[in-house]
Parts: sequence; C-alpha cells; structure tokens
Amino acid sequence: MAAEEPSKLDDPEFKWGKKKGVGGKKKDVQFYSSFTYDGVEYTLYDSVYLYKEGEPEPYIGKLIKIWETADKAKKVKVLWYFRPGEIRNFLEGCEVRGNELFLACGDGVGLANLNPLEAIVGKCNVLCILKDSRNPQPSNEELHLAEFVFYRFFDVGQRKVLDKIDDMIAGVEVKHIFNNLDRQKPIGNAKLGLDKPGISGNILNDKSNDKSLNTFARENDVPKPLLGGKSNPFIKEENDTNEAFQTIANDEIKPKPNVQEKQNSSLEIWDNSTGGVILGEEAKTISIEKMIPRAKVDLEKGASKLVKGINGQSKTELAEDVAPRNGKNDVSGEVSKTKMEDNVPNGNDVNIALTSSKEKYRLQRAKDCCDVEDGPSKKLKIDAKLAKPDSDKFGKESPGITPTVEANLDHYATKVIRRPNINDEPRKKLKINEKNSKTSNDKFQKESPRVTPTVEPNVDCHAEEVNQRPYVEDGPSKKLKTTEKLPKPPSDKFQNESPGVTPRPYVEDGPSKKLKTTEKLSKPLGDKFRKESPRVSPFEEPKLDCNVAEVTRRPDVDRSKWFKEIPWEERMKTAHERGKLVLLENLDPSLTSEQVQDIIFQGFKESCTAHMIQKTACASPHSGQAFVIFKKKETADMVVKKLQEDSLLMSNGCPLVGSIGRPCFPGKKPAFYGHYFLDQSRMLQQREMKNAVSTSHCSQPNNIEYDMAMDWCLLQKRAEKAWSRLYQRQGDELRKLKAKLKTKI
Amino acid sequence: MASASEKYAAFEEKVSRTVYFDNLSPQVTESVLRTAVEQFATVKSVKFIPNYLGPTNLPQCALIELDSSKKVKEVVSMIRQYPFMMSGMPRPVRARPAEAEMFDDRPEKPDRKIKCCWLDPSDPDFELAKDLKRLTRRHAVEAEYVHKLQLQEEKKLAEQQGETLNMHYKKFKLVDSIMADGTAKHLAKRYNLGVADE
Repeated sequence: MAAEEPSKLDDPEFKWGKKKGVGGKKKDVQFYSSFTYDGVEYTLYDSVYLYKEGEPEPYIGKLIKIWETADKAKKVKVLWYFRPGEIRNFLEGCEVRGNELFLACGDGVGLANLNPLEAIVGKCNVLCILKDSRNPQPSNEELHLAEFVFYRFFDVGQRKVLDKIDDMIAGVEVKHIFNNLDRQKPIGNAKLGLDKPGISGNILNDKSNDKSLNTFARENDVPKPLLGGKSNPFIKEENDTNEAFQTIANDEIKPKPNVQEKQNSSLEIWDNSTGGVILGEEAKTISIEKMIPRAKVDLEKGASKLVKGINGQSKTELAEDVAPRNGKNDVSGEVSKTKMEDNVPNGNDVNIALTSSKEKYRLQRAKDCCDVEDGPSKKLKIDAKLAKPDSDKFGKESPGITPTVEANLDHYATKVIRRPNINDEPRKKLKINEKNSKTSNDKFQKESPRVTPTVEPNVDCHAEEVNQRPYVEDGPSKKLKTTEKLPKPPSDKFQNESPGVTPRPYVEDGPSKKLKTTEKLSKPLGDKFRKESPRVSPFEEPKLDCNVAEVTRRPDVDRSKWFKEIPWEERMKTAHERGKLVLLENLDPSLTSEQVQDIIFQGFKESCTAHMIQKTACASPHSGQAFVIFKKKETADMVVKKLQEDSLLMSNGCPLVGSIGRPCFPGKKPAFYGHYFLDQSRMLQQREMKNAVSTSHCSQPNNIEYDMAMDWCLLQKRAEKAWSRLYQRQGDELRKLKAKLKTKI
Repeated sequence: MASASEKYAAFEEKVSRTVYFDNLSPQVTESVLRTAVEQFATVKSVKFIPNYLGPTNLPQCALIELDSSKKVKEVVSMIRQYPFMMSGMPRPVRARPAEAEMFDDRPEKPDRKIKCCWLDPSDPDFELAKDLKRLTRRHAVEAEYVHKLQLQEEKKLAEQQGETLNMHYKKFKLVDSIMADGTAKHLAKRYNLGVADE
C-alpha cells in the first residue's frame, strides 16, 4: 500500500514551499505546508493521487503532513480515501455513487501511511458533500469539477461505514478534512437545479432529458439547430472530445454543425451517466463504447450531407455564424494542422486544433456555452470548467472519452499528433473508469435495478440510429461496416428512439426486445463491451436466452486487500438470517467457488458470493453443493424461484437446483459415539486417564480396546460400502436420465 | 505469477501430499491432530473441513498436508492396518488420500470451459431437466437418510459397547475393591490359597 518510487534528491522539478516548523528528536525534521512538484503546487490537506506499481488505479489520499528528514528524504503522511471497490465487503446495502470515495477514519490499518513524496502523481479533486455545519458546502460548479466526492467515512478499526465524524481524524482537525474555506462560494447546496442555468443535479432528470431528447430529435432534421441558439441543453461535453471529433471530421471532409451536435448529444449521454449518481461508472463505460460507432456514423453523415448539398452552408459561414457569440465564448476552436502541439489553452479560449484535409477554419464552441446557459442540463458545469485554461484539468475531466477519440484517430489516420489536453492523466483515469465500472457492477445492479434498462436502450438507440442513415454506407470506416449489419429499423423510429436515451419509465417496457441489437452491436466493439452489455435485469426480462453461453469471468472483482475477509461462516450466518442465502445443488463438484459465482452471473446477471461445500468422504460425487450469498433477499428468492420454474443446464448435463439455504452450525457439544469415559475411574485415576485420552496411538491386539475398535472398523467398512452403493445407484439413475437429454453442452 | 496450469499443477501436488481424516471426535483439535500424525511424518498444515450441510453430529473431518506423497501412503496404510485412536477410545479414526474437491482454496482447472444455458420450456429436455432436478432432490434425501442410518448404527454400537464396557468395569472394580479392602487376602487365608500381591 505504500507507494514506491525511488526518491530523487535535488529533483529539479521540486521546490519546497512554506516552512511550518521543525520536529523530531534532534530538531532535524523540517515540516512544510506546501511544495511544488512537477510544476504543481501542493499544499497541506490537498487530495492527491499516489502511484503504486502494479496497481491498476492510483490510490487517493489526503496530505496531512509534509516533511523532510535529516537525510533529505521527502515524506508525506497520507490519510487514505477508499474507493468503494476496496471496501466492498463492508458496504452491505449502502448505495454508492459512481464517483464516491470513503475517507478513512478510526484507528487501525489503512487509516494513514507515510509515503515518499515522489509517489504523488497528481492532484485529485475530492469534495466533501457531507451535510454538516462544519463543512462548507461546495457549489454546484465545484461539484462538477470534482473528480470524486465523499460524505461518508470508513472506520478502519470497526470496518464500518459511518455517516458522521468526530472532530479529529488521524490527529487532523476535521475542518481540514472538509472543503477548503477559500474555495467556498456563495452557491447553495448541490441540488437538482433545473431552474437555474448551469445548475444541475447529479441525478438524471426527466425534464432535462426530455429536452435534450427533443433537441436531439430535432437535430436530425434541422442541420444546424445549434446555431439557432435555442435552448440546447446538450452542448456541454468536454472540449476534449469535441476537438477530437472535429479533428476527425475535418480530416475526413468538412465539419458540419450537426456533426458536432450529434457528438455533443452522444457525449451528453455520456456526461449524464458520468454525473449521474444512479448510473454510476458502468454507464460511463457503456456510453463510451457506444459512442464509437455513433460518432463515426455522424461523421459520415456530415460528410455525405455536405456532398449532397443538403446543407448549403459553407464552412466559413459556419464560422461566422458562430463568431458573434464570441463575446461569451469560453472556447474557440482553431483549425490548424500543425498547431496541435503548440496550442495551449489561454484565457477563456481553448484552441482547438483541427486538421482539415482541405482548409482550416475556425469553429466556435462558444455557442455551445451560450446555449447551455439556457438549458437545464447539468453538464453545463463542465463547460464552465472548461473555460478555465488549465489543460490538465480538461484531461482529467474527460477521461472516459479517450478511447473514442483514440479509436477514431486510428481509423482516420489523422495528422493530429497530440491533442493539447490529452496528457497521461486521462489515460490513466480511463483505465480506472473501466475498472470502476467493473467493480461497481453488482452494486449498480443491486441498487438500482431501474437503471439497468435505461442503459440498455441507450445502446440500442444508437444501433438504430446508425442504421437509419442510408448514407452511412459511403463511409470508409472499418468499424462502420460492422454497424451496418444491424437490422434496419423504420426511419420514423428516430423520433421514438430518442426517449431511449433517457431513463424514462416507458423505456423499461421494452428492453428485452432490443437486447439483440445490443448484442450484435457489441461484437464489433469487442470484449469490453460484451461484458457490459448483458445488462438486462432479470426483473424485467421475461424471456430466457436459450443459447448456450460460455461462462466468462464475472466482470467485478473484489479488490479489497487491506482487510481480511470476514470469515465465511459469519457471513453465511448473517446472510441466512436475512434470507439471502441460497443452496445450489447439482454443480459439478470440481467447480471452484469463483466459477460458481461466474455461473450465477451468467445465468442471472446477479453478483453473489459463492462458497463450494468441501467434499467429504461420504459426499455425493455427482452433485456438488455451494452456498451462495446474494445482495438482497429478493434476489435470492428470485433465483430460487427461477431455478425451480426454469432449468439452467450446465456443462455436466445437470440442471442447477437451488433452494433457500439452511446451513447447520455445529452446536457446542455435538454428540460423538464411540468414545467412552468412565466417570468414576476418572476421579480415581485422573492423571492416567488424561494421558490415555490425549495420546493418539495405534491399538494393539492385546486388549479390549482393540476388540472394540474392530467392531468400529467393521461398522466403518459397512458404511463405506453403503455409501458407495448408494452413489453408484444414484449415478446410474442420473446417467440414464442424462442420456435422454438432447441438448448437449 | 505462475500461470494457471502451473498453479494447478502445484495444487495437485499438494493434494497428493495430503491425507484426509474422518471419524474424528469433536474434541480433536488442530494440535491433537498435529501431534498424532507427527509420529509418522512432518505435518505442514492442518485444516478442518467445516460441516455446513449434514447432520450436526457428524464426526469431524480434516485435511493434513504432509511433506511428501510417499508419507501419505504410509500413514494411510498404517492407520488402516492398526486402529488408530485419537482423543478417545475405542472408535478409530479413518484416513484416506485426499481429493481435490475436498479443498476449498483450490485453483481453477486450467483451460476449463464452463457453459450453461437456460432451457426453453418448449424444449423436450425441459421436462427431462425437471426430472433430473427431482432426482437430485431425491438423492439428497437418500443421502441424508443414509447419514441418519449410519448415525443410528453408530449409536447402537456405542450403546452396546458401552454396556459391555460398564460390565467389565464393574467386574474390575469389584475385583479391585476386594483386593483393596483386604477381603481377598482374608479369603485366601481362609481357604489357604496364596495370593500374588504386587
């Protein structure tokens, strides 16, 4: 857990800041309250990423002490944040936001650590959204800037999630834990601000979505609604992506406003899910994936439209149209082939480098911002944020988009060498996202079954959208072809499909039908997507997918390493009391617990913790048993019911049998026959008896013990025979039945 | 990191070095087992197999990892040949080579594909699967019944032996007491018999 990196002395990129005092035995330890490392200024109580070799995600912690020792080693003491995945075992029943962290508190392993200062890889924006009078509430703007939020604490001693906090954590006053005072702004609490421009909640919201959908639909007919400047709630994605898309677009042909808009809207979806508490990280990944084909198609569309002259507007016009808004502009895109690397965002403008195969022109992103101001979308935040010249931030804020961009870049072989705002940070973060999404899978499912269908139709919509465009076929894109395989829906669906983009209730009616499209779509997108795609919640899914599916790894892996797992017996006990325990039978006895979990995930799309029952000498060789703990009682009941009504056939040719688990726990003094104690003699010859009892020995055939032992041996042999005959007969019966099965797996 | 197949090979090797003990009294603890088996071989680890399913009063089972698979054979044949007492008499423990399925921390078999599918209700196999499920349940009940029978027989034997033992014990006590209180000596004198004392 301690981050490692060789400590470099006299690092040119390092400078100490304010001194704070001295300490240590010989007064040879110098404390500091700030330092600059790698061009970034860190102060005490900042949240930072810490890199650890071999860890897929950087750790996140809060600097609570900074000092230099006598031998010039730079050290920081870090109070840890936990990602939900790291403490998943202790989260029982808690709903977790996608970007939520838990601050360590209490006493014990995992609270805080000393680390070499060099392990810090960057600042991390973590906001405290605890409703506490001591905590300055962050503005909505800040909330959107935040990469992570926290309002709960994880007591490393008791291993419990706490909602409240005392005055000190790890010797740090709680005011330092809370948000920084100077960052505070007079904007109210985080709420779902539909009425306020630029305010947005973290929760997907029907109203705003409606709007965006309408706009979305409109965009398909009207080539440049953006320029119309009406309420357009979409335009608030990361510049990053837009740039990327535009770059590509330009590369291919000429950019059209609607190209951009589409991208915007697809990004919007992404954004929603990013911010959306409910959707969480998983949705993020899904949307990222689905953006790929869609963006491509958009580009194609834009291109062909231009060729056809549907949209007579020239690029220069476009630029001009946009220009008047420049006053408000936060961002302006500048096209240039070579400037790419030089472009440094300055002031309120971000230069967007666009490589155009024909000419360069300037695209105004400003309109986006103005439009956004009318619209109620929450993602407006990001624009505001984007206005800041910190290119680093851009990168950070648009982590999920990178893959799209990169994929595109590959396909179109652009001359873009490097986008100014893509630094290493987002890439790293991207991975994190993916991981997160995996780990949060089960939580996600468990906590918001309603959301599942939401995600699903999103994907479908894209598929349909893709199909709708006849001119898609013009495209040279490789990936495009795969999308063309999708069945063509009637084009009037376009209006209808847009609701799919939002989590509106009626979408939930038909997720199953659309699933197929999703699956097809998933193929070209590769593995990752497939893992995410079988999202259909069993509650809504009435049909069985009767295809033989190979059981693959369940995407979520518990990453908790810091704490010992609660003993299985204890967990089983509590699960049993809460009715979450299911006994599975008929498993292949050679399966492992993980494989059982995978099977359950494959069959039910539910996460669980499984535990194979260890075989004993008199256990059946035909039917392996496993106890499975589900997250909820309802899930357990559903699984049992479904296993009863339907049949999940496994590779050993047996259908899975499930029942509510009733484990037996050994009592204090279970009866054991065959060892005799003579009470009186024990009193008399206590010492001798004690020795006799506790010494294990082979019996010799010269005493009564041996004769009695022979009786027992006889009994044991008979029992052995009985068991083997029983299992032989059972095996025969099973074999006979199985031979009749036509389905072969 | 060893590859999956290497891991599995290592595990199989461990299985071959492990003895499975059952018919253990509930009083047997890890240290008792360890000392008992250390008479024959070096014990590397001892693990009890928890009983979550069966009747609660089934005897304990344990896995004992030894240092070589040769020792496993020795220990097993030794215990088969001579009834081996552990924490009580006269019911002997039973030993046999361990099987992979007895371990709870076993790695996955490499390159193993698991598949599963839901059967369509219209599928002719659907009914068959139902039958299979019923059969499984019946088998489980049968096994349970055999467990019960076995326990009953054990109890019967234990009672019977207990009775014999008590009779023997009474006899010995009687002999003991007449020796202790001098009755034997007295009678010997009376009948002019020599009593071998001490």
